[in-house]
Amino acid sequence: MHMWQRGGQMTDLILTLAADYGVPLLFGVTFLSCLALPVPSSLLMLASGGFAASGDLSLAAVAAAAFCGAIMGDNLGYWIARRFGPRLTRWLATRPRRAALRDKAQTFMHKWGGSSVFFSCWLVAPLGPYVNYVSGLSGFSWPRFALWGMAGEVVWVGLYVGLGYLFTDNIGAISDILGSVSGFLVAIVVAAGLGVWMVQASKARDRKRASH
Amino acid sequence: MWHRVKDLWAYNRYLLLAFVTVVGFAGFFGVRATSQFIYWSDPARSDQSLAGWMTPRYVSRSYEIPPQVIQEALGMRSDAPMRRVSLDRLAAENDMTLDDMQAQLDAYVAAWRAND
Repeated sequence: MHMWQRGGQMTDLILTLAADYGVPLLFGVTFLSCLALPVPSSLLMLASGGFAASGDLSLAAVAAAAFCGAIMGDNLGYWIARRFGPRLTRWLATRPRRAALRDKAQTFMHKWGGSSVFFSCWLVAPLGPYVNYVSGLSGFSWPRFALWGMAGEVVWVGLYVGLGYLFTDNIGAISDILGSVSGFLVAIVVAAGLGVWMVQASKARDRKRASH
Repeated sequence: MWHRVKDLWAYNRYLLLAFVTVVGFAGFFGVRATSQFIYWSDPARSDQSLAGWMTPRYVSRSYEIPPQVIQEALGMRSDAPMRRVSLDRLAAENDMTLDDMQAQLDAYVAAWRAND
């Protein structure tokens, strides 16, 4: 039932390295996870918080490493998309449906960009890297992206390192429950997005029929 | 509502199916979170079993047992300096498996708690 026991070999390997490489490892893992690489960042933050509570690592160093890794990962993702995005955008613009998709992304980011960046850092963290890419791609303002991102990562790091620190006596339990809660929230947000898209498409067809 | 579903089934079938699937996932994770919460709320499960990534100090903190007792239970000398070492490495150094360590630890913990 423990996450560690059913988790993949990658998770086991990274966690076992935590005792040897501590803070630098945490930095690397949060950095990679913000670029959408499948590394167990939340688990490692919980374990590092536990190590901080037991005195194996310094709490300040753990928090700083996780935060800096996350911020650098977020911003690298944003700038990769912004730098190489225009090529993709030109390709998107070659077909009307793709162009519509791009315009929708831009309108959405203009309206909801700040809060999307903020909440995708921690509340629906698995969606974070993609929001970073979409932000860069749609040319969302970098200062706004960076500030909302920093605010979000403070919450993300504070939440996971803090819970690891507080619940040292059973990190397996915390990690299991947080994993499910996170999956639940991501599913709800994706369902809401698909729901809005469906209803809008259907209403548009209604209007078209009415005008005929 | 029904008109909407019929319209979507006719024109946006894959979108509708994706939506239903994702709602299914939400239900699955919701039920899982609740059952895990109930499972872990049982005080009998408060001692987490040893895992290769843990360190002696972490185990001491987790079991609320003094570090010296834990050091001995894990096959180290009780007066040895505390090190940040994973149980995987410690087990390899002492030619033990994690299960051996767990058995030894359980015995020490039971004895210590009985005396306390």
